[in-house]
Formats: sequence, structure tokens, C-alpha cells
Amino acid sequence: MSDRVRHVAILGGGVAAVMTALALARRIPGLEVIWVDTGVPDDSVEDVMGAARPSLGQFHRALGLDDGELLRRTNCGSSLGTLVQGWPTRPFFRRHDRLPAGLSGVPLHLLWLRLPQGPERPDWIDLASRESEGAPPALSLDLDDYRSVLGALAKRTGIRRFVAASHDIELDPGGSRIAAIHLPDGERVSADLFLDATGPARALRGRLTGGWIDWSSQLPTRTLSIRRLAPADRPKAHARLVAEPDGWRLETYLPRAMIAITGRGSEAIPGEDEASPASHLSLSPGRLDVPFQANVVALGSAAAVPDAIGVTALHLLCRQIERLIAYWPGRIPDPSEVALYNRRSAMEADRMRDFAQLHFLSSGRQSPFWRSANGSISEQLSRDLSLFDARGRLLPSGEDGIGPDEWISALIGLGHRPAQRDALAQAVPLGVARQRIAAVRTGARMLDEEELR
Amino acid sequence: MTVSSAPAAADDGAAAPLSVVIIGGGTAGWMTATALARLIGTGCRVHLIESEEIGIVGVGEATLPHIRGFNARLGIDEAEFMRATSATFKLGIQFLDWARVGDSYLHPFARFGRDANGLGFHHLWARAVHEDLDPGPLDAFCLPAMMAARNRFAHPSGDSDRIEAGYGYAYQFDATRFAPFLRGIAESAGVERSEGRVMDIVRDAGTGDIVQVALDDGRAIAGDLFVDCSGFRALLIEGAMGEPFEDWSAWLPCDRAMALPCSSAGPLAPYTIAQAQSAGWRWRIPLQHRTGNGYVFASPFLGEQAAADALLRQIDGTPLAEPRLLRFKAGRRRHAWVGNCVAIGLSGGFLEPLESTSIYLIQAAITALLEYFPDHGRSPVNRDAFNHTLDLEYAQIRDFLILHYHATVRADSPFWDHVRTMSVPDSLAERLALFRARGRIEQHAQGLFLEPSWLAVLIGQGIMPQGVDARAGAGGTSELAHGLSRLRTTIAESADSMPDHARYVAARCGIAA
Repeated sequence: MSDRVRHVAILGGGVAAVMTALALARRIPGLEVIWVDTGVPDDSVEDVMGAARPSLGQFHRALGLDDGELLRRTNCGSSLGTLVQGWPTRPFFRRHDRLPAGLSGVPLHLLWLRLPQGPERPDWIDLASRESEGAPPALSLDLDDYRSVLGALAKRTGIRRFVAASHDIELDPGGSRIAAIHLPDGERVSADLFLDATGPARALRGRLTGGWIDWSSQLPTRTLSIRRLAPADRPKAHARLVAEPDGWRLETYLPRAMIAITGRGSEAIPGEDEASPASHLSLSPGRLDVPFQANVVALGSAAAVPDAIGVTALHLLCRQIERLIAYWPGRIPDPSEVALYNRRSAMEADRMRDFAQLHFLSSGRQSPFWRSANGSISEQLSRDLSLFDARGRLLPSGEDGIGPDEWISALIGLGHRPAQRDALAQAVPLGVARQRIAAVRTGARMLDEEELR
Repeated sequence: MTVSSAPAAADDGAAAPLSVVIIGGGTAGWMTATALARLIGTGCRVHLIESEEIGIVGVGEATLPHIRGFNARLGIDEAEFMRATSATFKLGIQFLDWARVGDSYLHPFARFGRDANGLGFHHLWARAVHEDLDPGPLDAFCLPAMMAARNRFAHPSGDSDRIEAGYGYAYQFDATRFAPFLRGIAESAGVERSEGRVMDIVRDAGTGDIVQVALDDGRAIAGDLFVDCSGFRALLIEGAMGEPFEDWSAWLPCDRAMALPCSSAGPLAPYTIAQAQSAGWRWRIPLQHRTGNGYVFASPFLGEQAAADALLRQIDGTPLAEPRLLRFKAGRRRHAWVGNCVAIGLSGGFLEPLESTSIYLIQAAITALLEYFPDHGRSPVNRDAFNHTLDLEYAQIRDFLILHYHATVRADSPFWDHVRTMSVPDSLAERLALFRARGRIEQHAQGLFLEPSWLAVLIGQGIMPQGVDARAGAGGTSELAHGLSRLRTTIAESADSMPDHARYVAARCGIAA
């Protein structure tokens, strides 16, 4: 069929590029994939933050890769979610899967709130960190290992790879499309479709028209410092996020290392608190208005950067790749398909921004970092907060990049409580509610007991 | 009955119950009463006011699988319910003569074929059509559609690995018997019932809330929350609260129905028929003891006598009553919950029963009311969440119904010329453009009709995508042809092995002879 995309060129050298190259090569029949590897992009959050969600497992399955294999053969760990500490409330757990069930019509958190406050009501985290019938744990990646494993796989898959330290972009005469990528050795790479996986440099997408929506007034993190430390004595199967006076720290646990990432604001000076050598990354939160324009699609942090406190970079990337495949265009992209791709991408990135922003709204801290992001809240987040603070419920959001139970875990964890008692929960006899809560507490723990305090 | 002003603490800190007054019996009133009494329990006191004099609309009704969840939540036994309402099973709706006279497709409660690694089956089917492999209709790849064609039924096996597991089902029943059935449960759960007609409604001068209603026997019934189940009369939401009605007749011009029961004839069908007519469509809903029929039509294009004549010509049994005329207007209240008045059922809006959505909309409203059940405060939060939920439901169903009319090549009457050429809501136009390009259907988080339903109607009405998903190109032509042929055969054999619907019903939930 002459409408088919025959060649796709991917520019970039980080996880976004290699994951996309593999996925397309394996899942779109008859497609030639050209990978112009320009090295790991500067300031690419997905190339430093390896904590993933079940979307990565789905990505692997669709490629015929086995998470178990990766766990055995690389320095990857498991991640069930993120333990969050240092907010004015008790620690809470942002889990990737569904919370344990409540009772018919009454979700767990409303059933929990049914119990009178006091010694007989367990801490929310004790319930919220019990296993349910959810997905198996996601991986926590050692990104160096992962990039090389995927790179080796890409070679075996027949992807044409050019390694290039630099490149030039040729536009078409009208300046509205990419014509080719020129490499230093004289090679000219042309394609039906170009994918920009160059991170915030946006080397391809940035050459065409289209705006950047800036979220810097809503999200305060501007730098990440990344340290690779000795492994923890007992590596955990989850990440740990801790609020600090002037920023936050994320720890992810791998068998042979612990990765510590510190997020700071614009006033921070890198290297200020150097206990051990670190690499640094600059963060500009925001998103492209239109990631798919003409014959270019931006992916990963080239498309959107929703802060890093939500630990969503890899997850966002997996979902973008899945969307690109689900709506894989013809050689002449159909306007309604492109509009759909852009609309869903926007909804998804905006929702991740909202999720990150939520953490900054209730920090209870007064330092410039924590106070700096008092920009506007989106209409949807505003409506969600009003409704949750009144009724402890959320309306379906139209997109589910962050699942409803992760939202609820975060809202309850950050101290949001419905003002009104829930009528359906109140109708449950107290004894029955107690029984169900007790049953949930017999489930296996995802956290150690001392982490609950 | 007094109106509480402030919540009073009870043993476990509960506030005083909210007093709920429901105006109108029928399906909407008694579904609401039963659900509130059983699921809110002592948190509310329910008083339903109905008049035996006011006839219930009930014309033999088909439903959607969601009703099973509603019944289960109330602890209603399926067989008992089916006996009480003379119900049969429903696997879907057979649409005849919509895109063209002679067309036939079934809209099932199931997916078509098997999806593979995220690739929708219909892309493979569409590729086969484009490559002239003549795979047969999409229906042939759907087990419940093949069961319906053979008048078979069995409960889905629940084993998700087997193709027999993956379908839903609903009921075709006598709605006039559903209300009395529920009434028994509701009254056992503490619902108070009064016989009477509302003559006057008293509102608070300051807030505008309804304070009490005055009945024809002189009684005044006060309440905290008033539910308008008074049908098209909309005594409260329109009569008292003055909430405007959004008219959708430009897109859905049918405004009459001629209804007529007839004796059972032929095999007992586990599906509803919706057959397009010169100025609308007729329904055939088989119950255990008779068949419900109706002709939904647009009065600007057809007179009442002509509609009655057309219906009488097409029924397959003996008429059991005179044809009865119903008048309606497609559309909905701008807000279903205004002040302390909630409209549920026909008072809140009406969409013709082309896809059996009437009881679903009642259920959706009840579910939203339960989740956002108010307290004695007057916060608008519950109201706004409830209204938002119903806005989405109604808009999506409206678009889905319009699609049936608009996606036609029929030009054999002024009615069909009108619907074929009318402009449609932008939301529907976008869906059509997207599907026509490459068979894509955007999934929404909320809304009744998911991808398989849209697919059934789009393909059924002859909208073939110009292109297919690139992943459908994997594999050779003969591999594709063989794969489809094997699947079709497996499904046909499975359908052949299913029990006969009439015998299945008789064995499980047959009404007394």
C-alpha cells in the first residue's frame, strides 16, 4: 500500500531513542528503522530516573522481552511504588496498582474513614501498602545497563544505526517539514517520518513551528543532582521520596547500587552539598503544544517535562510509544489522527503535571523552593480538589496515566479529607466495615513495618 | 414529617437521616426508592408518592447489561426477577434496513474476534475485505451474534480463556411489572408509599428549594430532597424549578411512538429487533408471554394512522390491544439536579429507545445520586458532580443514536433525506472522520458505549475505513484468510452447541403457564 510509512528515522541516543527504535522495528511490519545515535541527550530526565511503572512491563511484553530476564541479567531492581516521607502528614505510599477493594460501592479509603478516629482505626498507610490483586511489580532500572542491553538487541533486530557526534538538519524548501539529517561523514538520512528523541534540545521538532507551554510557575524543580552510591544493606522493592528544606530527594534501589537524585530550585548552586561526585541536569518543566507536527513526532522529554517529583518520566515515555504505535500514521498523516495523537498526549502530560503539582500545594514548608510554585492550578485539578475535599471522590478524568488509586493514595497521604460523610459508607454497619478493614490488614505488606512510621 | 435543620449525633456519630420525597412511581420512582432504601439505609427516609390513575408509560422494554449489576447490588435473584417480569434474555439488537434496505447487523454486548497485542481485530477483518478475501460480515466473528441468529442462549462461562466467556447479556422484560416487583422490596426496606396527586409545590422564598408538596387529599409532605420521577410531566424540575429543556429534535426528529403488544409467534428470540421504516423505526421485543412492538416515528413525516397501519402490517402475532400513541421530544433538562430537586427518568430527559438506554439512564442517575448523596448542608458540590456525570452520559448516547440515522445511503423518503443530510454534532463528526481514515475509535474514560459498540454500528452501517492499522499488514494473505476462516468456524460451532433460548428460559425462570 503506497500509504505506508516505509522509513522512520529516530534522532537521539538515550532510552527514548532505543526503546522507540526497538518497538517500531518489532511491531510495525515492513518498516525500516534508522537510528541516528547522537549519544545520551543532555538534561533528559528519563535517562537518569530509572523507576518505572507497569507500563514498562507491558512495553517489554509487547516486544517479547521478559522482565524476569532483565532482573536476572542486569542490575535492575523492582518497584512497587514510591514511599513518600517528609510532608506534614504520616508517610504515604504511591502505588502503581489498584488499592485493595473496599466493599460494593464503597472504596477502601471511604470505608477506612467510616471507622471512628482513634486507636481502633489503623494508619492509612498500613492499609494502602497491602498487596491487592494488582499488577506485578515494575522494574527499577539501572539505566546504563538497560541502554546497553537494548542497544545490543537493536543490533540483532536489524535496525540501521549511525553513531554521530553531531548532525545538521535539512528542512524542505518551505521550511515546514524535515527533509533529512546530515551526518559528519556525509551520510544523508531521509525518511517518511522523523522521531525526535533528543530530549530538551528538541533538535528536530524545535526546527518547525509550534509553541512550548511553560509550567515553571507551577512546578519549582530546576536541577537534579544524581549520585550513584553503594547499595543499601537491604535493597527495597520501592522508591523513596523525601521532602527536604530546599528540595527533595529520591532514592531508587538496585542490587549493586543506590541511586540518589536530589531536586532543587532555581536558586540552588550545583555542587553545594557535595559529599560524593554527582552529575547534574537542568529541568525546564512544560510541554510542547503540538508534539506531532508535519513529519516529526517528539518523544520523551523532547515532548513534555512534568517535573520529576512524580517519578513519571519512563512511564510517560512508554505511554507515548504505545500511543504512537496505536495511531501509527500513514505516509501522509491524516489530520484527524494527528489531532487525536496531540490531544491525547496533551491530556496525559497535563495530568502528570497536575499530579506533580499536587505535592507542592500541601508541603507545609516555607522555604523559597516550596513556596515558589504558587502559579495557577488547572481547572481540572481545581475541580478534583474541590470534589475530593468535599466528598472523597474523583470524577473520571478522561485519561488514566496516573491511575485513580494512585491519585487517592496521594490525596489521602497529603492530608486531604472529605468534609462530608459518605452516605454509602455510613450505610455499612460498623462491624462489617471493621471486618473488611481487618481482612485487608491480613494481606502481605509491600513496605517494612518501620517504614510506616 | 419534619425537616431537620442540623445533623444530630447518633450512636456512631451519624447525622439525622435525610428525608427524600419521590414524586412518581413507575420504573424510575421504584428503582430510585429501592436503591436509596437498601443502599443508604438509615441515612435516609424515603417517601414515594404515586397515583394509580396516572398510567405508566411501560411498553415492553429492552435493557443493557448494567441492569444486572443494579439487581445484584440490591440482592435481587435473577430467576425470581425474570419470572416476575416475564423476561427473556437479550444478546443484543438486530438492526435491519438502516444504511440500506436489506442490510442487517447485530450490535452485541461483546467484542468482535480476538485482539492481538493491542491491534483491534477489525483491522484484520478490514484488511481481508480490502484484499477481496470476502471474510463475511463482522458479525460472524462474534459468538453472541451467531447465537442470536440461531435463537440460542446460555450464560457466559466466565472462563476468560475461552471464547464462550466473553460476552454480556441483558433482559427484555415487561417494565410495568418491574415497578411492582421493586415496590415489594422497597416497602420491606422501609419505603413509605402514599397514593395521591401533587396539586401544589411550596418553595423556600430565600433559597428556592422545595419545602413541601401538597396532595389532592390535603396532606402536605415535606422533605429535604425531592426526586422528580413524574415522567414527561416533570412536575418538579420544570413545574416548580423552571429548569429549561434542551431540544435535540434537530438531530433526532422522532417525536411519537405507536405501541402495540401482540401474541408470541415463532421462536423466542434472544435479541431485540430495530427495523428502519419510512419515517423512523419499529421495535420488536419478545417477552415470555407476548411480544412488545412499536413504531417510533417523526410526526412531520408520517401521520398517526399511517404509523398504526404500518405497525399492524408488520407484527407477527395477533394484536392484544389497540395501538397506543405516545408523544415525546428528544432532549434533556439543562441540569438534572437543581436546588434540592433531582430529575430521574423521563423528567430529566428523553432519548428514543433505539439502543435500550432509558433504564440505563435511570440507573446512571441513581448511581450518581448514591455516590453524591447530599447531607443537610447545601453545598453545590454534589449537584455539580451529579450533573457533570449525566452531561457526559447523555451527550455520548445522543451522538451514538444520531450515528444510526446519519450513516445511511437511504434516499427513499423525505425522512431519510433529512437525516442523511443533516449536520451532526462536532463530537460525532470528529469520530466519523477518524474512523473513516483508518478505523480508529477514541476511547473515553466514561460513557456507556465503548469501542466494540461504536465498531458494530459504524461497520454495520457500512462505514468502511479507507486504510487499516499498519500492524494488520503482518502475515501473508493466505495466512490471514485461513485464520479468519478458522475463527469463523469455531464461533459457528460454538453457537450451534448452545441451548435453545426458549427451553433455557423455561427451565430457569419460566413464568407460570
